[in-house]
Amino acid sequence: MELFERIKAVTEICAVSGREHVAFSQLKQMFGDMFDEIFTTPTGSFVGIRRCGKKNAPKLLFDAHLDEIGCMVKKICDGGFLKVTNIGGVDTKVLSATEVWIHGKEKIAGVFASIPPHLRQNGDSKKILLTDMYIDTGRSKEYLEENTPIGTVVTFKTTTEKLLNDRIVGKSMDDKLSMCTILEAFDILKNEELNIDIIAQFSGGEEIGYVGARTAAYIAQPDFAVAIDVTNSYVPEAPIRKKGNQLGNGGVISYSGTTSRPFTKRFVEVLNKEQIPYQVVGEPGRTGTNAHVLQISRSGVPTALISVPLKNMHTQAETATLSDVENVAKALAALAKSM
Amino acid sequence: MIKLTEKLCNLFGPSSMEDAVREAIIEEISPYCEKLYTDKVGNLFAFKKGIEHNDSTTLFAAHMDEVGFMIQYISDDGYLYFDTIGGIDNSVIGARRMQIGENKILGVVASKAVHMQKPEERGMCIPISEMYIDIGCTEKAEAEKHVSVGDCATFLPNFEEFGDGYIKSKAIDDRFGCAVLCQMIKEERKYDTIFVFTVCEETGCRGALTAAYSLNAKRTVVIESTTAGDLPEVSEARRACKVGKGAVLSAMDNGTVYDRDFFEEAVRIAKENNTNYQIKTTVSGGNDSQAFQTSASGSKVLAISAPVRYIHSASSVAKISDMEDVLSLARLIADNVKEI
Repeated sequence: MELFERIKAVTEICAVSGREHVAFSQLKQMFGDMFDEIFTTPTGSFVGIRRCGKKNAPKLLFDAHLDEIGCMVKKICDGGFLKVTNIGGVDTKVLSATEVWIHGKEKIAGVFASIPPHLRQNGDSKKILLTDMYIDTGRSKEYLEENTPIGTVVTFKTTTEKLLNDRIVGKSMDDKLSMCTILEAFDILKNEELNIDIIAQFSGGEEIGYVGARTAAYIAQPDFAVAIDVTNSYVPEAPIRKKGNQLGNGGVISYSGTTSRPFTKRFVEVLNKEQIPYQVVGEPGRTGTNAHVLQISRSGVPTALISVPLKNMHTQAETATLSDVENVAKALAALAKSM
Repeated sequence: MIKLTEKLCNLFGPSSMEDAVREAIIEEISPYCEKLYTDKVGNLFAFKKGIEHNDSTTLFAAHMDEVGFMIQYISDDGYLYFDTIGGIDNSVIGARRMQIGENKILGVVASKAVHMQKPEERGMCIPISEMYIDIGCTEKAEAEKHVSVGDCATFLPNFEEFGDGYIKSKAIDDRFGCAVLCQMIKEERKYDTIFVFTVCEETGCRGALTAAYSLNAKRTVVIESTTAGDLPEVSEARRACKVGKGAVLSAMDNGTVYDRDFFEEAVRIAKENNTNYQIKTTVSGGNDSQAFQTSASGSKVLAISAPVRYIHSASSVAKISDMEDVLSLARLIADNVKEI
């Protein structure tokens, strides 16, 4: 599958944290034949394993999270409006008049409503709060009570498209773009003889506390792990210390106080040797990724973190660059080959 | 009419660039009117002969332009800074996609990630002057190959039928009004009637000013879209009008105190014919009526509007039944009002 087509197919899957299982059959159908074994977990993770055929081979796990931020219906109001709560860090400042899918028994469209500016009063808060917003569905309350009961999830209604050059825009690039880096790496390694088993772990619940990675890695029992996530790219309004990480300069290797430095160094040596572009970031504490829990799975797993730089994270307009996805895929493949 | 509304809504036509809309309308109505011409600023006039001649014809007006954006500066790193054409609230611009210039280059308005926002920035929409568009270029020279300062942009075409009998689209304001006029032109009319599709309403009712001067009609009916604030928790008094409750008649808005006789006549006709109508409950907004009322020797003005939620955003929502009520009332006025 061509890279952009693959990214479009994967990012347009809707898998809100806690409801990832709805994507399992799609994933199986699209990518099932890339793996020797597949298992899914009750906490929303989809895991594919490719065996190298050698006895007692060590296992290298690549993790990207399957879940995405979204909302959940918490009240059905008169006039066809829904009140929702956030799942993960939804950015409310861009929600007004945003189009959404409401994943009820029947999937229906909706539009985020907010009070129009010329009807606002001086006392109204300028802050856009989710508690002040509604989703307009154009349906009756009776229909909504039946079709989209409390607990129904909501995702952005948008498509993934190309901008100029190799830049792309869409929803849930966080972290489905990283899923694509793993799938691409598996493609690169298709006919390679490896000394290790490689595991693709598409974990659930990252946005709500790493639930899926914690539990799936317990089952998978890897010897090494690489978490692949997205990281905020430099933008003109960002602090200067973010300036080292920009779109188009390759994957971002994290030196962190919460990941394995020896394994990270080993990864970097491979990249240098293979001349694969990358950039680095220093993250003293929490990385805000699944690397946080992979490193301390069971009796400990040496874990590295590489991220795809991304703009406008947690909006319907997450923007990234294809070459970064390609370079992260090459990096993962090179690491697997080197082991 | 819904099919035509869809076609018109999906066209690119910010104020001063209404060409595509005008061409589509000409194609639609040219077999059905006696005289059709465009004036020096781009307004499109259509004259329809009625079964009966009357000396004082009624003018029906709708505007072709939509709100949009104009590129003002291209930065060294290839970002496009812009301002709005017409009034667009900054809350509906961030993270939105737009089509830019004659080549319709796809761009996306950047929005600082929630992770990088300071606590006081959370939920706060940034001023338009600080927003910029990303088209995928990293250098000014490269961006300038695709986009120039002065290029116009709009939200992306996205018309869809929605919910139970609603539509959702950009530019319902006022392509819906244009569709109503087209439908009236296609039908037989009792009296001679004039129609004008105006330019540049969103930048100050400028097309209507010159159209009004040329025609100097005795009565003008503006077919518009108006803000509906019928959301839960908004008090009745602030709702202005409600989606689903029929055609909106305005007694007064920020631009016009409407002609009382014409207004009362419209109410009488609506009542007599059981046409759903509502009276706008706030003094807000404004439209081409103010230009028709004050240009040349003036005109008696009436505005009939469809209530529209999230107007001037990428995803406005209107109800088909309201649009039909506006069309019904406009027809009745065209065929029943001979003298006011």
